[in-house]
Amino acid sequence: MSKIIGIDLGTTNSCVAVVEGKQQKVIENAEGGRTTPSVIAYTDNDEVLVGLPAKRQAVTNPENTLYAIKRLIGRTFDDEVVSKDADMVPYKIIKADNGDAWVEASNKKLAPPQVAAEVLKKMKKTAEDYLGHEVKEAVITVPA
Amino acid sequence: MPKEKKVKKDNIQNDALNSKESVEDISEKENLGSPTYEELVDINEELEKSILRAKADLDNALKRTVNEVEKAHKYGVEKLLVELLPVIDNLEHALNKLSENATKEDKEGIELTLKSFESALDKFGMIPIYPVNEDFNPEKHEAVTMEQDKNKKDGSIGNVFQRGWELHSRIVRPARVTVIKN
Repeated sequence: MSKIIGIDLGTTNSCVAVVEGKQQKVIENAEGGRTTPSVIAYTDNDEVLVGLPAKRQAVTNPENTLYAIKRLIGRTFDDEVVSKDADMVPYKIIKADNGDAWVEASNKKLAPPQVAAEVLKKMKKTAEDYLGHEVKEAVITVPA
Repeated sequence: MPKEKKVKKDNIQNDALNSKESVEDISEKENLGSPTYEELVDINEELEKSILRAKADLDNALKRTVNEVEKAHKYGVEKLLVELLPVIDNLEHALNKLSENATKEDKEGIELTLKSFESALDKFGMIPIYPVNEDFNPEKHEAVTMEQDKNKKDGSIGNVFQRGWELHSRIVRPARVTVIKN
């Protein structure tokens, strides 16, 4: 029976845990950390880096290194929070056809949930490596 | 309830430790009178499934425990070793910035201390990362800043500010480097 995992999708860091018996257990990622930076980078060779590696290359590739993406989820481009963010972050925040705030990285237009999904994928992988089986269900914190 | 039946029910309950639901189902059905043959077949099937699940859970838990113990052995010293790394850094700084008044013996003393420190770390599986003439790899290196150098290609490493360290192929500290961008 596949276990259900719990993911805390944070603005700066994310975390994944399972319940073992009656105790919750935070799962360490491949790098040994209990939290994973919510940073996603799209590199020149079409690679998607998530977590620490993405953070480590941020200075070399600031326009395509996305962070604090959670703040953009569900907001329109004209939202106050979005325009404040747009002045602060090095990546491009654009207006989608439906008026939502999207981002642009590696010449691709991306919806914030699509970017956040990369973090979720990494958290899922972390849990699968630990549990030894495929994970099909998860509880995810609702973005603030 | 006849005695034989009660014993049977107890056994079923023992077998279905992890399947509260099916035990409740059984009790419900028993209250309605003797189960039919088909019902018993269903109950049996459910119990077999729950036993299989419990077995798989146990197997997985055992595997995880073995992994955890192995990891604990491998990386148990990680925290201590990471705390000791600044000592090595400082010895390196000392060597690089020896004052003019320092004697040859002073230098030798620091060098030997550094060497013995490094060999102690090596015994625990700590390997230094010193990427000269390599391409920048964010899995092992941390970019501190960008640099121009016509003799080197884009994306390669210019200078190494601080060595990185690797413990049993886990990066405990990335090498801090500059990256070339012409």
